[in-house]
Amino acid sequence: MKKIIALLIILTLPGVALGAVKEQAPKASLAYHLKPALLEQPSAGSFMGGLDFGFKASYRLASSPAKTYRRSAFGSFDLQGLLTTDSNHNPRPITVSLGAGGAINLSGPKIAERGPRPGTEIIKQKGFYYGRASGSLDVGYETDQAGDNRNFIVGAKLGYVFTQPTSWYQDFIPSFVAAYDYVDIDKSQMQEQLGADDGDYQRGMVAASWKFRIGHYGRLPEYLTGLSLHFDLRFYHDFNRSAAIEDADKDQAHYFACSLNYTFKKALWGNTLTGIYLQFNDGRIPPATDDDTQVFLGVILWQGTIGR
Amino acid sequence: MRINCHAHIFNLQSVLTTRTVGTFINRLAEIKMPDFLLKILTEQLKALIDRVDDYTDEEVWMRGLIKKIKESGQFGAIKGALTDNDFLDLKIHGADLLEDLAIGKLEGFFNWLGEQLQDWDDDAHDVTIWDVVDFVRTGLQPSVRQVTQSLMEQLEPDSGVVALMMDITKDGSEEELFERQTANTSKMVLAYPGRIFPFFAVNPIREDHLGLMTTALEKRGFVGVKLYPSLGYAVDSQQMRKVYDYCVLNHVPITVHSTNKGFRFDGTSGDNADPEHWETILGKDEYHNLKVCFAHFGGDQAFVREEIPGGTWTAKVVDLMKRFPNVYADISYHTAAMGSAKKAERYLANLRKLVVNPKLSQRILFGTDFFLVRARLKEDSYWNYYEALLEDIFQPMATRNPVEFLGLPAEGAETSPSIINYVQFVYEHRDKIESLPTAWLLAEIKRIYGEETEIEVPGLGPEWNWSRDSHYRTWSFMVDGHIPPPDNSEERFAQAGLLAMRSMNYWNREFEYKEIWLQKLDDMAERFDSYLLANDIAPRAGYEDGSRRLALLKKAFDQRDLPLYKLAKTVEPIYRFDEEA
Repeated sequence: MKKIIALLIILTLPGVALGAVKEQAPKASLAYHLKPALLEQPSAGSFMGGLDFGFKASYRLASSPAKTYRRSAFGSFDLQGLLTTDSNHNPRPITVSLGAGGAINLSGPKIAERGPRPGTEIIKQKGFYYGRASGSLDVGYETDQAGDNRNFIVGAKLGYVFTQPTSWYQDFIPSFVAAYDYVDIDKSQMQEQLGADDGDYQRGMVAASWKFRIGHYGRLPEYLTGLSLHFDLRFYHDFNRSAAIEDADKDQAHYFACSLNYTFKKALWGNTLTGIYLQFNDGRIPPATDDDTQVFLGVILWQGTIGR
Repeated sequence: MRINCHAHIFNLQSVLTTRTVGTFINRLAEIKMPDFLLKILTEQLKALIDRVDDYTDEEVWMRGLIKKIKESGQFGAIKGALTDNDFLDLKIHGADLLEDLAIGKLEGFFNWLGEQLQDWDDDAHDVTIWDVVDFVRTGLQPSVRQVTQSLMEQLEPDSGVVALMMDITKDGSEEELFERQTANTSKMVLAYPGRIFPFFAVNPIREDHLGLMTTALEKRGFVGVKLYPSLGYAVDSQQMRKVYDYCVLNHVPITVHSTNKGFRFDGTSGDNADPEHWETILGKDEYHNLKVCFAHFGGDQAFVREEIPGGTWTAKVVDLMKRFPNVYADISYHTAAMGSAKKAERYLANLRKLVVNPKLSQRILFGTDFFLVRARLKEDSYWNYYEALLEDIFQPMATRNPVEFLGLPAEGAETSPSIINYVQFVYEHRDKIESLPTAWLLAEIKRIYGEETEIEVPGLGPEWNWSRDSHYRTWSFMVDGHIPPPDNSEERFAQAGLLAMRSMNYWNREFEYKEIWLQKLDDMAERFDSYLLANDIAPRAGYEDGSRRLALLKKAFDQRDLPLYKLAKTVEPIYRFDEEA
């Protein structure tokens, strides 16, 4: 019954969304990928082959023609996952979902004209920016490759991003995504092995990030302007799980990363090295099951194309 | 430095109006192509003119053309005659799905169509349909700048071009259109300083032609005068004498159309281009030093005969060259020899006979007639063809002779006053130049303005330049909270072009949850799109659908190492930037 109600919500949402924003011609877009993968198999100390696949059909239900507070509503079908040569060690589930949502860009563009000298312009109307907010409802089904753990999912997701900091204190504004899912277990080998029987449960997730452009604070030398400090915080929590699950520490996870990054304006080493960072991270990102603490030095290599 | 002494960089919007379209269509009729295609092209051009105030880009026009071809009865006949109908149906079906067809696919369609027609109609063997379509497509480029770019991309970096304006007018109206063509041609001098040599189109039908010409030559970087008598005026008249007076006094070279083909005012005006009209003019003492180049050498047909026949326009040009020391001729739009070994042999033999004459050898110029010659072949193919055919006599025609014709600095010769004006124009507008001036121009600037004179050029030249609307708009959007200091300051526009997305404030892909990053890309794409729309930068045809635009912008903002100047390049085909402003 709950599944049927969830499905009804999804099916009626497009109508609600359409009413919320002005109509324009609906448009569909398709995106898909299929790529081979090579994965480490930690327990066996070897590697296994895989096929990463994804197919997403988005349907723009409506989009406001207004240039300020631009709004959009969309429906989507999403299928993605990973198939590996050893299904028992596949870390990612296969998911199929149907969703609908909307977004509002809390901004208005400036109106400007080119000035007489390079780098100068005549502002006729100032713009404004407060970020972009979005929300969506999804219904879907997830399974591991072997089909031993399968769930029906109904969920909601909220998002907010901020990309245009014009002063140092705006770096404190986070960008985040928060999701809340209702999980109806279809089959759970994991629960069977733990001797638990939770039935339905809920799970929540919050991910937030900050970028502090510390190279621009104060009057630092120009060569330090590529310096930035990044925080990445994620928190996963299941509600109404049995004591067995909680005792096995399978009901919650957190991840925290702090990175000091330096981005090279001009790539080094024959145009190959574009960034270097020192990262401290703690916790785990599901489906990983073990917490870990790491400190490491990372490099970011050039990802552009050759030629002007 | 190799110089193409005969090219055009105007776009069709600079010359086509309801009054002038007939002239253009008559010109089109000279190109060998199946009748039904000519009819369709004509209809489509007329339809284009009906919407002259609206922008119509080349893709829309080509899509319309495909649909018309598909609907034509003759095309049905071809279809019926073919056996591989499945393949044909697939191609035809494609015409219904044109929305997503890119230029490359359209080219494929026309090439395929050309192949079918070649079997069907042998008369079309010397020109493919794609040649004709691409010729009009080049002319349909939205700006003079884009036509120029398409030419310069086919040339070697140190090659120069004489850019001949065109003034197709019936009564001297369309002043605004003509002024735009003049202004935009002038701008190309600053885009490619020392490489573009514009010739101002004088047409005495236009009342103030003398004043316009003087201003263009003295203040706008023009170095010569283009005459096109077939457009409805005589070369020997009181009005024209004033033009020659000015030109001879200031050593301004003139290029005059001299073939019985080309644009015409009416049925009889083609005779105005007959070289014999110049005998009396050049015979006068005061015009002894007037530099006149007879474009197309009177036509190419005489060159592929056993001997150049007497009485032909070519023979008359040769005669003028022998009698008057400052008469030149160019070999532009000479395609008669192509495709036939025998004709090529005769062409070469006739030209060699002229070149061995010391009176003539220094006064034959190489030219292509870009982009009008595109109706037959590509610019680089034209260069390659003649370089291979003419062997040792090619180089002087493309290097030494143009230097003398234009009055460029050379050993033992004084730089001509018109070139001095050109140097002055570049120097006075040095804050607007878009690429490094050529060596000869830099040397002249230093000679005239002092050895210590420095010309500062933005690092990326035309690829990131303040005068380009797409570049300014890209910078304008990014400078508010995306380009980090100090590159967001006024004096850092040039440096900002080299900044990659990884250096922008929004970039955080490696350090955050993927879903957050994807939403940031949505945010950037939506706001850039909104910014452009709010500033009256409309989407180009085929990109009216917002989701298509946003998908392309998201992809660009997701490229870590994409520099800002390349972001501008990415959005150029999506939006209708005002490059003519």
